[in-house]
Amino acid sequence: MKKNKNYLLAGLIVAGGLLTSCGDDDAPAAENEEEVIDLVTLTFTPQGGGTAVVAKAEGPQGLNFETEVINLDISTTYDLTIKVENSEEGENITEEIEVEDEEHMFFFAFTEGIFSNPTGNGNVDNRADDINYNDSDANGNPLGLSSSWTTADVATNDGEFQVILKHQPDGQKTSTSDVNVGESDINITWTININE
Amino acid sequence: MKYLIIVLFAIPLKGLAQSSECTRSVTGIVLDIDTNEPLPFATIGIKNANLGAVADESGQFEITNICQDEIDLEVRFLGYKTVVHHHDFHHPSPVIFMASEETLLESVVVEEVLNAHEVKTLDPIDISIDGSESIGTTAGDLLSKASGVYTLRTGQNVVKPVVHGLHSNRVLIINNGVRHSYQAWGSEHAPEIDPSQIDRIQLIKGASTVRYGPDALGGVILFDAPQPAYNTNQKSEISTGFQTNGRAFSAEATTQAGYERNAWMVSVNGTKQGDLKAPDYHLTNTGKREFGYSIATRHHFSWIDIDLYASHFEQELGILRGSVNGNLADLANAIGAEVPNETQDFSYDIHNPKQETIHDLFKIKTAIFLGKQQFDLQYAFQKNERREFDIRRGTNNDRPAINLKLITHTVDFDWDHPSSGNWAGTVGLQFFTQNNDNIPGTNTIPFVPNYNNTNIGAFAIESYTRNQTTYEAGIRFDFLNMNIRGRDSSNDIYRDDLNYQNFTFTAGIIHEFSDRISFRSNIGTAWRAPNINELYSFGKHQNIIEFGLWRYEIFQTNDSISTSGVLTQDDKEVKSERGIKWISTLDIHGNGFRAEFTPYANWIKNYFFIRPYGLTTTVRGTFPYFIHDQTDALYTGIDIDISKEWSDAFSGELKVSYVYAKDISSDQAFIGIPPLNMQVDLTRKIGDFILTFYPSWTARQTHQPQVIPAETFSDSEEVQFDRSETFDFLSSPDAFFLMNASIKYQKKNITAKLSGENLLNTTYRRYTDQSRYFADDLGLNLKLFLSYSF
Repeated sequence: MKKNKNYLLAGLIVAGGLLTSCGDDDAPAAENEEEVIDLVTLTFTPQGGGTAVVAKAEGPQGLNFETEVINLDISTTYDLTIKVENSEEGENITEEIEVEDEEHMFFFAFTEGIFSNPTGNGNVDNRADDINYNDSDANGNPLGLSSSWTTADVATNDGEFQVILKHQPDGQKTSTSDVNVGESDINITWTININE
Repeated sequence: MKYLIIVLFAIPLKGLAQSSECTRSVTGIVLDIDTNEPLPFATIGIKNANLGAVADESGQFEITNICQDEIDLEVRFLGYKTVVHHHDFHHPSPVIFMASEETLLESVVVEEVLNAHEVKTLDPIDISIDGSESIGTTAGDLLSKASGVYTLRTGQNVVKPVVHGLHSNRVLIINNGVRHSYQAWGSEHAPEIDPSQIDRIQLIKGASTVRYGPDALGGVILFDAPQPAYNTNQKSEISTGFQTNGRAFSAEATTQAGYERNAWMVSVNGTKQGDLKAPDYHLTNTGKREFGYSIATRHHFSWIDIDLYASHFEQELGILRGSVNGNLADLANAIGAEVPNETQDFSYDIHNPKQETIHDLFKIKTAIFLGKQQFDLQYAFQKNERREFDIRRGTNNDRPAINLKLITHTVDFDWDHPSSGNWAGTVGLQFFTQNNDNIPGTNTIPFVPNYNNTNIGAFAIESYTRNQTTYEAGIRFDFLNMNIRGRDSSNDIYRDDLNYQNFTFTAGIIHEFSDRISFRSNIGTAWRAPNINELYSFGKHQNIIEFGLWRYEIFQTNDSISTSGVLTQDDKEVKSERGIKWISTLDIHGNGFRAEFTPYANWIKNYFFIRPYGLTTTVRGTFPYFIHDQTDALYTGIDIDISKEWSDAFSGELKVSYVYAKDISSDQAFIGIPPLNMQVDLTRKIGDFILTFYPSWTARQTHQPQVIPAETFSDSEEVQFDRSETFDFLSSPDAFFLMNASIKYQKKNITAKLSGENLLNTTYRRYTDQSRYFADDLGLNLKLFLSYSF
């Protein structure tokens, strides 16, 4: 009988000890929010030299994005480079996209007629449509961090310029994979003016 | 905490003095384990004493003039396996279940429980789980055999039970007598309960907070593991299961032995499943891995019984690849896809998105017998780890996006006072403390903060029986403290300390109109504190952006919303959710016929829910965002269960469940309320074979909110929707009929079962399945189960 009672006491003491030693007061560790893209910068550099045109799109924590207006000159050929960042953490996400070029691709859509080269309205509605990509991945498929654009010879106000970055992992990116494949990492529409 | 332990030590240990006069007596009953029929004329003898008795026509016996304090009862009956039971006079009367020599089962002795600690007017539905059913399935699916229960699924492998339309934090799960502590928030977090460790499920559909504690608004589910039996030879069982859909195989091994005062059982199991298949395509990334083991021991002393139990269960669950997508345009594209996006050939591989969980449980349970009183004291430790992997960029794919560790200690103390005359009752104290920590290294700001919850509850339930009527009433008081530490969107620390306290009540009546008709009715209140995600969730989780109640502020004057601050109770009062549920059962039975009608109504004040509030432009395009809010809700419905035994070899059952739910503040439907469904079971025994047909039919849910297809948003940028109304992206799926059947063979120590689900390979989707937007549910599935015991 005595032995049994000791058993119970021992159990209670163990239980009590565990219960009193479990409080803590720690906040979670700070995490680098390196996932979130909060700044996308388009830089249009005229091929013949001149001042580059910069148009940013920004949204704190990746929400409520606001875009600057793109102002280009008529009849000019520009090289477009796209920079993707997490400005809060000072992180350059462009580099990650370059490393994973075999599973990323930029698609573009724009108001028909604002460019003389490429013509049309971009390759969002149809992958085969013309875009002048200046870069490609190891499989020879375009990437789109760098591209060339020649503006039309007439002025346009309030046109649209849409940039979509698709993540197409696990061999989904092919020479025909279109904008409906994979997840959207970026989908931003800028207002564009072609000025005389 | 300290005072609780003092109370426990203060239990009077009197009344243990032993008597050596020959005035002891023992009563009991002898029954057939298969049929529960009494076994008249069974002989009961006391070993080493010249005393004995013969059971009367109702199987009952009494032996008097016993001198010893402890005896060995030997029970014999021709054609049945003899059983020896060690009995002492601190324990309740034995109930002896004799097994025929022809069956696999062993004769067992159960000590009658003085008082089942239950709310009697909430009669639990008892589901016994056969070994051939519990292999390679989920705990949620096992439970869905009962009427009034449905399942909520995410990506096929994450299955949560829905009771009378409620789930997650509104249904309390008791695993092996311990409040199961897990990340209950969110539809995609299933309870981590090993289905192969379940041999019995009890379902309480009423508001049983008084007995079991907060959160039991919809009901309580009790999962019980098999228990080792005393006085049995060592026996072992090896079982395997195979299924064609997902090419899954499972295995389980159990061994146990029982002695006069000790018994033990060890069990280990595992499952490997590949991609499941809908009638027309594979469901890519729906594989799973499960591994679990358990050790149970029982120790029997003269005035105290000690049971120890430890279990480990780990899972790796793939989530349908095609159910994860990006912005509204991607969502529209995924919903419209004929075949889910990224569907590939069959594979056992599990990629992101996936979940990895580990749940460990250790418990020590003691029952102390003092005269006619019984005290139960239980301590349990639980460790719950959850890692969720999303589709991310680059090296972040190897990092979980959510990584949480939840440690829980629970202490339960119950005292059954001796039934004096017509009165019976239980008094109890319950204590639990949870410590939730985010494990660093996710590279994303934690979706929910760290927190410590501490709850202390005390309850008393008393019943009074007179003639054909039992009256019952109970009261409970709970105190809950929540201490919260989190990180806001700019990585700054926020803290809060919250206290909630609530009284809850239960009252009920059972009346036997006649031998064939009885009626029971119960009304009970329940409550729960706001969950951590309802207060603090912030940002993107899965495909939606959501803000907890204290992470947004609405300015009516200029109709704007701010999500920059972290609010407190002073800024925006958030009250605990309170429910009152009325449930009644009319039971008509006789001549192998039974009909049960169970109507219910559940009114919930300050009901937490999530509603769409607007669209936000993100770097990934346009997303809808949702806010957590409170309203008042009504859930009402009826369960019907009719069974008939035409003969020993032929029986049938019909189960029907219907639930109607609405937001009564704004008079609209909720998303995902289970539709009307019914199931028929027809069982026929032929020799050693049992044939069962169990077709089911599920209606289309017609009571649903308005539908705004996702492409409406993506096609035009300026879509406006009425913020007071909720909406769904897709209308509820059509009604469907599933044909299921099984054939089971059992002889000596071999059991084999072949079953087929969705035999007609019907294409269907369930309204309560999160993947219904993207993919069809499972096609034909053939299962084979084999078991050998020795």
